[in-house]
Amino acid sequence: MFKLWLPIYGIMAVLTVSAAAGPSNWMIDPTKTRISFAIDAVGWPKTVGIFHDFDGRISVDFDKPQQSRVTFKVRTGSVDVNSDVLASLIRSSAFFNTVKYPEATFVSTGIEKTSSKTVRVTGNLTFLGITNSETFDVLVDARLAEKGRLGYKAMGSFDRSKYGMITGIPVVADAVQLEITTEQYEKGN
Amino acid sequence: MKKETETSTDTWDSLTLFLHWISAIWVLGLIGLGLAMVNLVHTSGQKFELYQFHKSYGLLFAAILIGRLFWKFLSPPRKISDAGMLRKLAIVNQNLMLCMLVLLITSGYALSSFSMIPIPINVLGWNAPSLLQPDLIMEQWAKEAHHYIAFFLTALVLIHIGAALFHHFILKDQTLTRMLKK
Repeated sequence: MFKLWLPIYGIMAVLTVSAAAGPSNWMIDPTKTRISFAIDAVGWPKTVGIFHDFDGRISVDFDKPQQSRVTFKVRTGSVDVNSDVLASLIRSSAFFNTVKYPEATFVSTGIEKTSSKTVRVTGNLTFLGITNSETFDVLVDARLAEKGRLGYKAMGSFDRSKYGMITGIPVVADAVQLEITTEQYEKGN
Repeated sequence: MKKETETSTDTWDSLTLFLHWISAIWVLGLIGLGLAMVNLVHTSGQKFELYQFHKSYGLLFAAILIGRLFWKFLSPPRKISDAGMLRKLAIVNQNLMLCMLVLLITSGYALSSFSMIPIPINVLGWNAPSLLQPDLIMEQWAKEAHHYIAFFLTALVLIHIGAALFHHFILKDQTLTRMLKK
């Protein structure tokens, strides 16, 4: 299992000695981050949206990957679906209820390595005041590791009904697909 | 103008002409918008905006149609010189169009109000109340009805336009020109 992390570990060891010693605090690069969702509806094109306002923190422990941490906070009012009219409906109490619940958060509770390039991140997603455990498969892109950057692509889906968002079901799907691409860089780089 | 098959007293008043042409523009616009939003636009956001636009202007048309029906019954009866078969068919077609417009607005409103996603119809900044409860089956029925009524209305409109052109270019009477000026 450790062997699979060797490429990243090796590069990091070369870059900084301290990085290998314990959890390193890396920042996510907002300009390289895209938090998007997609939802299907019967007789309607897939609605794809992104969030403009978010914070994220990824703390990677190269010695003990399972001790790495991921937290994301998204201001749901910043949703963008290429239409202000549709965005206001999504912000309304029928869907995001952004006045009452302005933020959605994800805090990882466990990370397991699934291959040399993939990890599975489990964590608590809090949305509309309800917290559920959700799992995301994450592709780790270490091609820029030498430049102090790591890329991630997280994919997963969750049922919005678990968060009390039932408007339009079953015409509008229950399952929401999430895709988050991000890049993190070490402070000082 | 060359041949008058109908007398010059056979004219329309200004309000009737105004209501006719505003309806013509409105209805053709809504039919075009309806076809475009369903068949031509395939991105969720734009499609959604066109649907809301169609709903707003569709419901706004109810005001025009109510005015038109009122005026149809209140205005002084016209002197009709020719009550032949063509005139009778024309009146049947016109009345059917008015009926279809009433049904189209009703089914459109019902479709919106039965919708599983409550989206108020915004008419000039005012949100029309949704009087019906969300109901998936009823929404589907209203959608089918709206669809077929719209196609039937389109056919009647094409007959109406064709007949007007037939009067103007073949019969060479004043049926069309008297709709353009008082």
